[in-house]
Amino acid sequence: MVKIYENGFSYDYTWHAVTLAYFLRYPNPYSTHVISSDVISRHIDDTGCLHTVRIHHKRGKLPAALTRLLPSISDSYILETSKVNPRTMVMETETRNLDHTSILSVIEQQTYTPSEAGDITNVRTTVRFDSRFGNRRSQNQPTEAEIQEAHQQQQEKRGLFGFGFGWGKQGVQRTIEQLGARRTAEHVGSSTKGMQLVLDRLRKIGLIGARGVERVGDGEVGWKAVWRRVREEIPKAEGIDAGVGV
Amino acid sequence: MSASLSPECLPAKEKYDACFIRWYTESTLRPSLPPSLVPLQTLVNGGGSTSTLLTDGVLPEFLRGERTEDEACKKLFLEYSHCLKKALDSKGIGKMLDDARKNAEESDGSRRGS
Repeated sequence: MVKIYENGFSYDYTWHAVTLAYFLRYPNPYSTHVISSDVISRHIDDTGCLHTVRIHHKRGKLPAALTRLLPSISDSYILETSKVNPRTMVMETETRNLDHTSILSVIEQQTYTPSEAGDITNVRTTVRFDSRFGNRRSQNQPTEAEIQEAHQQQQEKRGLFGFGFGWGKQGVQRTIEQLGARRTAEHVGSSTKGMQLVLDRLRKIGLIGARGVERVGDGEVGWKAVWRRVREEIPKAEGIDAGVGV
Repeated sequence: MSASLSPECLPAKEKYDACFIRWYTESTLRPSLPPSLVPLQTLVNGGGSTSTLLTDGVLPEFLRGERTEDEACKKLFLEYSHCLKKALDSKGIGKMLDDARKNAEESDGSRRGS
């Protein structure tokens, strides 16, 4: 069973600036749950496209109804793949959770393209939720009865009676997917805010400007000063409300 | 930049990240010509040949075939990934990556086909 979420958004920055910000987006005050980010592989293919695979370690952000039951899910690993095509000016990204996939798989795909005039960047986001819970057994996962209990509690809490009893596997999968979907609007919102903030700060630092990515002062010294500011200023929580814990 | 999964890899990661971002910044400086005229082959060939269509003045360094930063990044990446591999293995992430690859193959009509 699969549930889909879709969203369109535009950044008021050039495509080159936005693709740079994508690689620099962690840490930022809107994503304090991201503990670490590492590059697993990176290469340029025969057509000149840059491929990057990264792994992000996140503190648990599962819905409360699930985390109550599953204390072992306090964190998760996210695999991010991206492809930057500098010729067609298209960046495609995908993130998916690496663990807990037998409960819920969340796959987010984004496509970044410049507007016709080139002054803004459009982003199309598609998120797919797929719960295969109960389709196969794996170790360290809750029993179906436990999940059913969570499902029941969730429904009762919301006062959604009338579906009868005996939920069955599909009902449980649907609940898990709905819980995931509810979180997604929130997540997409905070990751967009995070990107926006990173872009604003890169502009303040002078790495990006109205025309796109800017040439940094001359030589090592100029670059080091800029890089130091990138490292120090992007994560700052100053002037951000409700940043922590989002 | 963000932390590493393994704190001991952080120094190597920071050096590599700085190198990559510098390379990416310089390589995405807005060319003065439409992207279709930018000689992408130079990316692939390691800068052996550069198109004569374009004058040097309008191109970012790496498109002119100056690959020194990129080469430096490669060495830094090897150091970083050597360190990281140990961390990935000890946390069992290597296996998760294999499973993800299998899942992607079996369930994904992936738009990128790779």
